[in-house]
Amino acid sequence: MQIQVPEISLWQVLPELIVLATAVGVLASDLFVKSVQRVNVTLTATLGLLIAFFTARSLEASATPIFAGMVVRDSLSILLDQIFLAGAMLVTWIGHEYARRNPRQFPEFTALVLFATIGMMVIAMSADLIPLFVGIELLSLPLFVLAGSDKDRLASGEASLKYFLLGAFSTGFLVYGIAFIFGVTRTTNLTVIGQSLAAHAEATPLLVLGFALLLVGLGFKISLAPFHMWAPDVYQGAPTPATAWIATGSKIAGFVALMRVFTLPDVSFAALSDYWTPGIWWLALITMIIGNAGALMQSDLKRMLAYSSIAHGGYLAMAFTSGTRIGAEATLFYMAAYLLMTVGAFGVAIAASRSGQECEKIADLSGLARQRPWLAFAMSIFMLSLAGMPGTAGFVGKLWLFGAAVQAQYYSLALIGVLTTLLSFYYYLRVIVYMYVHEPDDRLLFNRYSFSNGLALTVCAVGLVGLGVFPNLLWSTIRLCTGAV
Amino acid sequence: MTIGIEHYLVVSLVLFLLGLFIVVTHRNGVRILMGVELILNSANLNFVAFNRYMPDSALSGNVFAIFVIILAAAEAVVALAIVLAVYQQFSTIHMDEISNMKH
Amino acid sequence: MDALLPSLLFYAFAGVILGSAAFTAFARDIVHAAFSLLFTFFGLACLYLYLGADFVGLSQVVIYVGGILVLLLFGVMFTGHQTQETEKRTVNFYWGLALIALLGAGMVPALLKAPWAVKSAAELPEAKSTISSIATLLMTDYLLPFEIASLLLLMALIGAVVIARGETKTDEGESPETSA
Repeated sequence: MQIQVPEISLWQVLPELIVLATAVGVLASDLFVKSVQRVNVTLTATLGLLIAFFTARSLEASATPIFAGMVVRDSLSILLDQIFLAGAMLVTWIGHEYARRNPRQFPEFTALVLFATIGMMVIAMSADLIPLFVGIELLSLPLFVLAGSDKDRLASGEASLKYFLLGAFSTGFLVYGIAFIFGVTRTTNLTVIGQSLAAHAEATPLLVLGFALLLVGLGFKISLAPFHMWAPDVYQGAPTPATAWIATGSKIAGFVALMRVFTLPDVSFAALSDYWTPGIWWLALITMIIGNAGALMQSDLKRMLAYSSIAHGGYLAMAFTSGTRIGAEATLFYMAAYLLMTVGAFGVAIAASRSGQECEKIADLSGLARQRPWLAFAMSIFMLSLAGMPGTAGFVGKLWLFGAAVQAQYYSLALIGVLTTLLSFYYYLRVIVYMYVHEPDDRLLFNRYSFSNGLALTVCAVGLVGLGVFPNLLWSTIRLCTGAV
Repeated sequence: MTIGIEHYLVVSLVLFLLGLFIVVTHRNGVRILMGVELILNSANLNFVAFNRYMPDSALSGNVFAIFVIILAAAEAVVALAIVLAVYQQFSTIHMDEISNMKH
Repeated sequence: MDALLPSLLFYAFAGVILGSAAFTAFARDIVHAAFSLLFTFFGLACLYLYLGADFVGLSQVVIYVGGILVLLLFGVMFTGHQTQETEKRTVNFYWGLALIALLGAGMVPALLKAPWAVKSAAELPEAKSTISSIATLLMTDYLLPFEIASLLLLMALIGAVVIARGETKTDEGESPETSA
């Protein structure tokens, strides 16, 4: 039998391979070296991620699918790779601090973060539902484990069980939906699906059912209301660096999956936007309201950030609904901004621990400004950016998100977005008030935070202000991604 | 009456709904996992049936089913580890009793 | 008459699958529910073979029945003693019934109305063994996802060890969960 072997262009997936090698290296170091230093693990991971980052930068974008049409190395996937790699680096740095309590698990912790990163990168370059599906799983499983990796806290186990069961359940929806799509279109290739849908652009009920199920499955992963109920418990219970990666990487990757499937013109369901747009419209609306309303009532910092993350998912979904080029651009820009501010906020939550006591309540931040002025200042930037204060990337990003919604004539959605944003100032500013106005409620000093954590926070803060003042730094690259399509 | 693809789809749909029913009504962690397995199996039945009833017999449906089985195996490994770890901590895997976070 | 036997076979398999799945859903005792899954998985494997998907059918037997079901049973047995108490039929039960009835009523018409290219088994070509074609596909077209799937399995092993490793820092490499 003649077997046609497709071209195997390994250098096109070099960033993924480098991350894999780093993950395996970090794990192996635990095998061969007696008592691995945390510093060395972090340094190895940083080095590997940096190399992968610059390899990804140097790749040449091409719209031609590779590996027999499974993946595509377009400029979108290259940009997203860089975002994910930078995010993984920040998470490793803030994890370094957290691992002081549990240094034994740190190599595995880092390796799992890296595995999840590979999953995200695979999602970003998928041109077929099979790698998309496998990528989503490669992203989810390490995060289930990371959520439960802190054996000292009961909440961690609870978080991992809840996250796992909900995650597995949503995978079921995802697969069942994909099965229908496969049945109707007879292919799993996104481009071919797009072509066949464009050819006869009326949806059979089965097809609508298929992508409704797909949307529900992905909705769970990115915690769009009403599929968000797992998020607060999981975010609160998981170890904070894991929470940071669940809140940012996993959510961004979920939106990327949505983008790959639903909006990129010429492929997939763009031809059928009449059917899925109303669905995402409602999800965005409910998510914005529930996320912000929920955040108002929280006294726990991570829980508040969980609801805030749900709310931001709603804003992203709002721009998504527009289905336009500007909507996709705004989504991409906001993803990067969201990554920086959310990782930063969780980083502060890690750094602001007192001796033997994690920072859990918002009230635990009382008096932070006096003892750790830089931490408090960085946290203020993150909070203001999350709220959407002018001068930060959060503001620019939100402006574009709302602009995209208005341009697509979703006025009511944009209005709700603006109103909930105004509401959100209350709970973000409350954090700042605690840090600057309130006296520390006990005499315990805040711990010193490590260099790596300070570095991560500085990068996040500088990045947010930098992108807030010079958005073109990123905007031009994003233009390049969507300008081609 | 010969067996058409609708027959398989209805079987798979009932399987899916039973899985959904388990997930919605039961509070035992392992039981919920059984429901999830039923859902994954129902999707697999769809893939295989669609693949069989397609005029051009590319095997991508079968391949997808195999990937789903691989995933289910990986998930079950992690699931057992998590369930046992939680059971050690809480002495139960009843979801309503596993709750130590203030809401 | 020719078509009768295969049809009967199909209905027999479908009956076994759905009956045992329903038992899993409604049984009060979780051990019974877990054993009932055995019939569901086996019935599905038969149905896959019936559909000419021999490789998927065999994988189903080896992985689902031989691996996943055993893991599930482990899970039941290790955590089992408290589940003997019969679960109460809560409000949830009736909501669940209503939910699946509603969804079923909504979805069945969509399934039946869809225009299928091939209507009945009679028009199908003879099923050939799929094993060698799937092997070729996995090593050519689906090479990349195949490799990623192997990563997934590696990651699952590591993850299970991370979760299962006890507080004691001495028992290195002990990972009973990794046998699947």
